[in-house]
Amino acid sequence: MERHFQTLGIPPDAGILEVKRAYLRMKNLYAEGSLATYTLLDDEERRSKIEAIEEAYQALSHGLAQRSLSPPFREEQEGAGHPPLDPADSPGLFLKRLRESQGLPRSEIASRTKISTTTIDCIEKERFNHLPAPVYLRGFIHEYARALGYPDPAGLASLFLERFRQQSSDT
Amino acid sequence: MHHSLPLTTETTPSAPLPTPSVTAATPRIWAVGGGKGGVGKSVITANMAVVLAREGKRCVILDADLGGANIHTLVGLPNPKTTLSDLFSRRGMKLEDIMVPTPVPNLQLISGSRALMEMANPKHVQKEKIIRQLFSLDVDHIFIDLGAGSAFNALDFFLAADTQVMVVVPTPTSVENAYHFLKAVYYRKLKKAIQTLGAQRLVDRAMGEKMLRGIRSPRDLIASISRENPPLGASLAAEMSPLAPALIVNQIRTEEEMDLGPQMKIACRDFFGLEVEFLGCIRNDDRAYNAVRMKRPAMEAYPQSSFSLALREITRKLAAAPFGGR
Repeated sequence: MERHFQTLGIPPDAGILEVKRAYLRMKNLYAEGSLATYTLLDDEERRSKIEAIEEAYQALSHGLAQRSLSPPFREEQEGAGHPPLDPADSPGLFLKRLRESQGLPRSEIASRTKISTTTIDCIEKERFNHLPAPVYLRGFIHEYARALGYPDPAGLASLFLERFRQQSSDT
Repeated sequence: MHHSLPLTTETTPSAPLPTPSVTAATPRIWAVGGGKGGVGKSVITANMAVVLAREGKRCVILDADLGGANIHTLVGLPNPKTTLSDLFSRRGMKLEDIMVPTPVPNLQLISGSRALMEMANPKHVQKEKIIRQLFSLDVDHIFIDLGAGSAFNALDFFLAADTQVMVVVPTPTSVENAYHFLKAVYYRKLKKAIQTLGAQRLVDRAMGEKMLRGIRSPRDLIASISRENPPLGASLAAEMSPLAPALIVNQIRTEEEMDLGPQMKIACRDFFGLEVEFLGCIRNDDRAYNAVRMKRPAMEAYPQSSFSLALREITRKLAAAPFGGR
């Protein structure tokens, strides 16, 4: 277990949410063509790194799903102000709840981020076929999450795009 | 990032008088490096110094980019009367004798311009002389502009600094050179630490069994030594810990490029076991470029540009952090 937490770069008492976020973050970081790592590792090292990350995620998400039946998670204790929803399940709904919990109308977000209210609506409803290409979408999600003071806007953008990809491969 | 900054930071035209240091403390040494040329090291060095000089701190820039010195132009000083070459060619010259005032109040310059060709790589004794004299200068801050490359010269100045700043831009070439620079700094420091601790044999053995032990990074090497000899591993890690460079991502143009800094931070921890502090991004800003063309620091010519706002915030954050005395 300890080793897997280290692979994902998170403390050993991290909750399942943090594991998911860290997994996506690390996968992104060590993906082929990643600007931040491509000169650090050769292809074989990169492959074994990705394998270790996948293995860590499998082991931890399985382990934590069982652990979640007993003691409460750190994140659930801390995140009193956040909606009790896993952003990985529905990042759009997560953003909507977070916005509503702060009492902000869509128009306020629109004026803070320069994203149109229609697009914000489509983001929240995850109407992927109405949303722009991923390359723009990432920036939108990033800005939206940041406008709400969400601590890891890049992570949330990755979650959203991941879901976008799943959706488009399903249909 | 910088939109959250209060807009009350406009520098006043009349700078406050230098505040005498409460204690006769040693100056804080800043080194700005990061490998690639053209990423903005000199511009960032010059403007960081201007920020603190404008706050009344006595600042000196040492232009250690020998062979490519141009800080003097960036601060609007076309022809420095004395330069580093005088330190070596004229007997009895001291570092403080070759400092020249600049148009910015409280800011002085030790220029590297007109440095002799053979000085591009000063001898060890010369470098030691400069470093020793630097520490005893009666000023508050000393900024060293290292120039491009990973020559020993640059590495030793970087390692001698209290505040180590790396500048990258979001291009593969810049990131590549930054890692190369960081690796070079890391191994130079590690080599000294190994010598200090007399651990050469243990390291040689570990590196001899590199494949067997799965040593792929500096971090793996230290972990492997720690398993074999825990106290030595701990001392080695302790010797390496003062190496904690801070990172600025300059000239970003897209939202996505904002991820580079946090990602490099994780990669450095993963690969080197190094805690790099990510200081922030600076947006690509034409006014920074215009200021260079005007031969004035952007901090003076465009104090409210996004470049100036972001860099001022970064500089103040760094200056507020404590640094280890000597």
